Amino acid sequence: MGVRRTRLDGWALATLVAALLVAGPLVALPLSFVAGGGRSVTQFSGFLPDAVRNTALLLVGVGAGTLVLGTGLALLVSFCDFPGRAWIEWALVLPLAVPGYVFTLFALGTLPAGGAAIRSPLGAIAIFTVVLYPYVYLLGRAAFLSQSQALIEAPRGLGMSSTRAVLRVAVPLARPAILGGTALALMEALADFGTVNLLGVHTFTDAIYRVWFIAFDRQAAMQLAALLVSVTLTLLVLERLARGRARYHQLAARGQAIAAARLRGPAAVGAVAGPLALVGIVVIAPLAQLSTWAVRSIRDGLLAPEFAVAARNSLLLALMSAVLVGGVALLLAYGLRGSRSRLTAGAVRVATIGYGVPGSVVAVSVIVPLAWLDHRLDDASNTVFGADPGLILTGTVIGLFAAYVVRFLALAFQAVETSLLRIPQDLDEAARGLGADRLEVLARVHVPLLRAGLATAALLVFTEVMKELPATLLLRPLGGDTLAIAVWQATSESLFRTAALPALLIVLVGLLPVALMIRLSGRRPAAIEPSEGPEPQPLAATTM
Amino acid sequence: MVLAAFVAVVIATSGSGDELVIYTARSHYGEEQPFKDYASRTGRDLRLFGGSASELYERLESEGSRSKADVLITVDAANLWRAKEAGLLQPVRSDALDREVPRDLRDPDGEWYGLTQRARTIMRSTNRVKAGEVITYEGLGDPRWKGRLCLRSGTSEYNGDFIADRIAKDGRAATEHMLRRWMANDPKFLGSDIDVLDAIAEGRCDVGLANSYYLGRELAEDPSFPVALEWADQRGRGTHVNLSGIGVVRRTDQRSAAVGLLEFLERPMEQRVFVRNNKEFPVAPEVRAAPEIARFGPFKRDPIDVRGAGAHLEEAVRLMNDLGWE
Repeated sequence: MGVRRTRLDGWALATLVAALLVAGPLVALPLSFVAGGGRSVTQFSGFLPDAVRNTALLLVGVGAGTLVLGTGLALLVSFCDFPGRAWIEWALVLPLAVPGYVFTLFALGTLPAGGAAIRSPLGAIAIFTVVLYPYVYLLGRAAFLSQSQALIEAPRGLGMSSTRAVLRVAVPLARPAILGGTALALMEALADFGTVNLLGVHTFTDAIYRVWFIAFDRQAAMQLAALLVSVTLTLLVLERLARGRARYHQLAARGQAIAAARLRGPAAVGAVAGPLALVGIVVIAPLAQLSTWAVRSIRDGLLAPEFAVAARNSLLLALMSAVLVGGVALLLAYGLRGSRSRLTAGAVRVATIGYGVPGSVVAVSVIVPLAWLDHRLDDASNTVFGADPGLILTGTVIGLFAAYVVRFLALAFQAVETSLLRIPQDLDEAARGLGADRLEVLARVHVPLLRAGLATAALLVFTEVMKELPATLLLRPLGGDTLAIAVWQATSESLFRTAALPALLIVLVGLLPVALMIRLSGRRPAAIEPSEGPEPQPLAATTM
Repeated sequence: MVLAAFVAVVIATSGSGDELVIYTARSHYGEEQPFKDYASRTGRDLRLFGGSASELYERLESEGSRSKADVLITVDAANLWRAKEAGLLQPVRSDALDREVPRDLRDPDGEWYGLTQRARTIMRSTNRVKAGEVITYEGLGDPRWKGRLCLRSGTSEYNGDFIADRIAKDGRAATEHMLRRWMANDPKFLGSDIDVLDAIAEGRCDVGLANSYYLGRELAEDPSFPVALEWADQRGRGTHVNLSGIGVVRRTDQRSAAVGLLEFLERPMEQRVFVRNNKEFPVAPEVRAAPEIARFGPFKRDPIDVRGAGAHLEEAVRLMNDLGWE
C-alpha cells in the first residue's frame, strides 16, 4: 500500500509540474503591472481606446453574425427537408478549413478597389462571421437533433404554428449549445492576428503587436496581453457554464427524433441556393482563385523565396507539435485520472485555458521567461563547462514548441480526456491487480484503447500549427519561416499570387480534420436516447 | 525515436557556425539578388532572416551577446540609430566603405553605412491632377484634397520615420498641425505603398504619399501607368529621404566576412543592381538613378538626420495614432 501511494504521488506531482509549466507564463502575465522598471499603461493610452472600441465592435458584430447565421442554418438543416440536404448539411462545415487571413487574402486580391470595402471593422466582422459560423452551426445542429419530436408537437397541440413552435421551444432549449458555439467563435475572433492586421483594423492583438514593435515597449505589451486574457477568460467561463447546462437539457430529451418538414417550390430552391452560395463564396471561390494564382505564380517564377523550406518547416513543426502536445495531453489526462488531488485538478484546468488565448499573447508570455532562462542557462554552462551553447530555448524551435503547447494543449487534452473517460476505471484496477504499475497500465491498456482519441488530438494540433501565425512569427528561429508566414508576408506587400500557393496548401490541410469530423459524426439518429457516459465535448469536436 | 527527431530538428534549426547570418528588413521579394551574387562569388553560405526592422531590432536586443546574427540591415534610419544606441553594432573602418559611401550617409563612428536611399514623396494621378498642383507635404492637407487623399497605414515604418523626421526638424507643433490637416481630409488608409499607387491609378484617390521606387517598379512594368511623382518641398528643405542601412553586429564571430559583405554591397556594381532591380537611389554618388525615376528630373533632398528620426520615432508613432492615422 505504501509503495502504491508514493507512485501515485509521483504521477500527481509530474502532472502538477507539467500543468504549472504550461500555465505559468499566462498566470504570470498580470505581474507585468507590478514588476519591472517599465512604463505604465498611461504611456500607450493612445492605443487603448481604439483597441477597446474595435475589439468590442468585433465581439458584438461577430457574436451577432455567427449567432444568427449559425443558428439559422442549423435550424434549416434540422427542421426542414429539401433536395441535397444530406450534402449541404456537411458542406456547411467546410468554411472551418479556411483561416480568416486566407479568406482575407482572397478578398483583398479579388474585390474591386483593392478590397477598400472590407478594410474596416465591418469588413472584419463579415469575414469572421462567414469563416466562424460553423462553430454555432455544429453545436446548434447537434442540440436540435437531440431534441425529440414530442417537444415540438406539444405546443403545436396548443395551436402554435410549427415555425413558432420551433422558435419558442426548440431554440430556447438549444440556447446553451448555441451560446457555447458563439463563445468559441468569439474566442477565435479575439485570437486572430492575421485578418485584422491585413485589414488594418486596430484590435487588441494588433495593439499588442504595435506596442511591442512600434512603440518598443515589451512590458506594456504584456500588460495589454493581460487585459486581453481577462476578456478571453470571461468568454471561456461563459462557454463552460453554457456547456454545463447543456447536459441538463439533454436529459430532458427522449423519444421520437425530429421529423423534418419537406420544403417545396421557392422555399426549397432558397434552402438549396442559400447555403450553396455561402459555401461557394467562402470555400469554392477562394480555392479556385488561389489555384489560379498558384499556377500563375509557378509559371511566372513568383514563388515565395525558400517556399520549399517553408513547406518543410510547416510540416515538421506541425507533425512534431502533434506528437509533443498529444503526449503532454496524455500525461495530464492520465495523471488526473489517478489523482484525487484538488491541486492537480485545478492546475490541469488552468493549463488548458491557453486555447482561448491569442498566439501573440502566448508568444509575449512565453518569450520573456524563456529569454531570461536562456541567458542564465548559457551563463551557467559557460562557468561550469566553459562551453557556449548559445540560446538553446529562444534561438531554436524549443521556444516555438513551448508556445504551441501552451496554446493548443486544451484542444488535445479534451480529445484525449473524452476518450479516456470512456474507459472504465475497473480496467485499471484489474490491470493493477495483475501486478502492472501505472506506466504499464497506460502503455498496454489505455494507449491501444485511446488510438482514436489520440489521433484526433494529433490531427487537431497538426492543422492548428499549420495555420498558426502570430506566435510563429514572433518566436520562429533562424530559417524557421512557415507557410503561414509566407502567406502573411506576401499579402502584406499585396503580392497575392505569391501568397496563393502556401495559402492553398494550408486550406487543403485544414480540410483533413473537417473530413474526419464529418466521418466521425455519422448519420442522424432515428430516436433520441439520453446519452450514456461522458457528455460530448464541443470544443474538441468542433475546433479546427 | 521521437526524441531523436526532436533533437535533430533543434540542431538543424540552431544553424551552423560558418554561415553568415543577416537580419534583413528588406523585402524578400526581388531584393535579394546582390546577396545571391555575394554567396556565389565567395562560396559562403548566407542566411537571410526577414522581418520588420523593429522586429529584428527587438530580436537582436533580446538575444544580446548570444545572437547568431552577423549583419543587420534596416529599411529606415530610425532603427539604425536605435541599434547603435543599444550597443548592438560595432564600428567598422574601411577605406573602401569610406570611398563608396558619402560622409552624410554613414555613421561617423562607422557603426552603420547607408545601403540605398528611398525618397518618400507626393504621388498624383496624371489624369486628374495637374503637375505642380500639389508640391509640398503640407499641401496634402489642402481642403481641395478632401476625400481624394490616400495614405499607407500608420504602422508603416516609412510613415513613422517620415513623421519622426518632421518632428525633429519642424518641431512637434508644426508636425501636428500638418497631420491634423491631412486627417481632416478623410484620407483612405491602405495596406501598402503599392495599394496607394493602384488606388490613384484606379481613380479611388487622386493624391497620396509613397516611396519613389514603388512607382519606378510600376512604370517599369507598364510605362503608361497613370501616376506621376512630384518631388515635394523643393522650395523648402527638399524631399524626405530615408536610408536603408547596414551594420555589423557587435558580437559577431565573423567580422571579416561581415565587413566583406558590406564592402561588396557598396561597390558601384552592386549598387547598380539595387537601382536596376528595385529602382531605389544608390548611396554611391557616381551611380545613376533608374530611368523610370530619373525622368522626373533631379531633385533636392532633405538631408538625412538619422539621430533626429531615431530619437523621435516613438513620439511620432504615438502622435500618428492619437490623431487617427490608422
